[in-house]
Amino acid sequence: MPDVSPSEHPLLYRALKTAWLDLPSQAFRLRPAETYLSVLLWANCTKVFCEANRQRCAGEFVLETAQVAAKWKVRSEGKNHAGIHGLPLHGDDELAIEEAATELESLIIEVRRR
Amino acid sequence: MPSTPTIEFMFADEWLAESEDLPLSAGRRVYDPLGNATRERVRRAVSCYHGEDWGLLSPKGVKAAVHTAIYHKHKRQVKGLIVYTDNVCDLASTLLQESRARLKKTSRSTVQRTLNNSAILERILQKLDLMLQEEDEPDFLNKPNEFANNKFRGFIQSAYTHHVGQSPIPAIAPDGDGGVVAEWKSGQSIVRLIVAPNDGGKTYIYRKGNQESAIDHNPSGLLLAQRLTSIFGD
Repeated sequence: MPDVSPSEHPLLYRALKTAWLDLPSQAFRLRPAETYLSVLLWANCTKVFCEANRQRCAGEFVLETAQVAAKWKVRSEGKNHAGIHGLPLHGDDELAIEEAATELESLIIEVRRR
Repeated sequence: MPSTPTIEFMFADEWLAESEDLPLSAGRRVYDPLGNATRERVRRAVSCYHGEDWGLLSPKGVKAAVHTAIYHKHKRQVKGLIVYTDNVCDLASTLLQESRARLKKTSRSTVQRTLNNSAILERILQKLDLMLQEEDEPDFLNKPNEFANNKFRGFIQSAYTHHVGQSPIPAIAPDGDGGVVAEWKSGQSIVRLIVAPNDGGKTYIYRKGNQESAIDHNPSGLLLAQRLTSIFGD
């Protein structure tokens, strides 16, 4: 899959769970079956329409593509879907997992709530 | 048990126990005799800042915790209480800005500088109880399972029987797979307790301070208390 161009898609949107509003770093760690972190390339979501096809979506964390791409690979995974690759997998080195989650949390530039 | 409804407010990490501006008095305990549905309504009514749980107070916001014991026998009065607390929250928000400077001059007898450990513990466990009432999603478990719930509860209860220094009130969230995570954060300083959903998973403490980031692979309540003290100060 091709890399996402920061000039074409300057922002990435991480669809968020309500529980992550209190603890944003939770949104940035891979779960057991995941090999990359899913993000959206655009998010024209409303209360009744979710770009991520989630039944319950609390909004999005917005990150700048260039900042994320400076540290990890951001690859297109579909029309409106991209993946942040290179994050430590679930069960891997705990310090690396926590550091990555902390760093990605620090890159949030906006919290869009719904 | 209070004879009239009392409200506690938190400014930054300080408790305003009494104020000449706010005709309120504060107790240390938060009674919770009402049913969950009513409690949730009260919680929403008294949350001056959206989206936060009343038991865990935002360090940057105004929060109110209402002693509702007096209403236990007269539940129809709860609606009135909600309106009342809404109004008081509005008043508190207005007063917050002008109160900050004056607060610093207020005597120690009127301002509780820190919540005591038992009060924080009570709020953490209330938050955990609320999480246990959440509905799971097909791809995300909002409820910690029994293993994680018991283990987390044990760590927290043990930690708060020890000295935890000036640690902030933690945020708590499910990991989506039955486990639970707590995070104490102030500026760039972080302590996280990760509790796996089963014995095969990894349960650990992560800490990040000015000089170090490290993992403790064999956490305990005592170790958690020590990490909180070392990261956030005595």
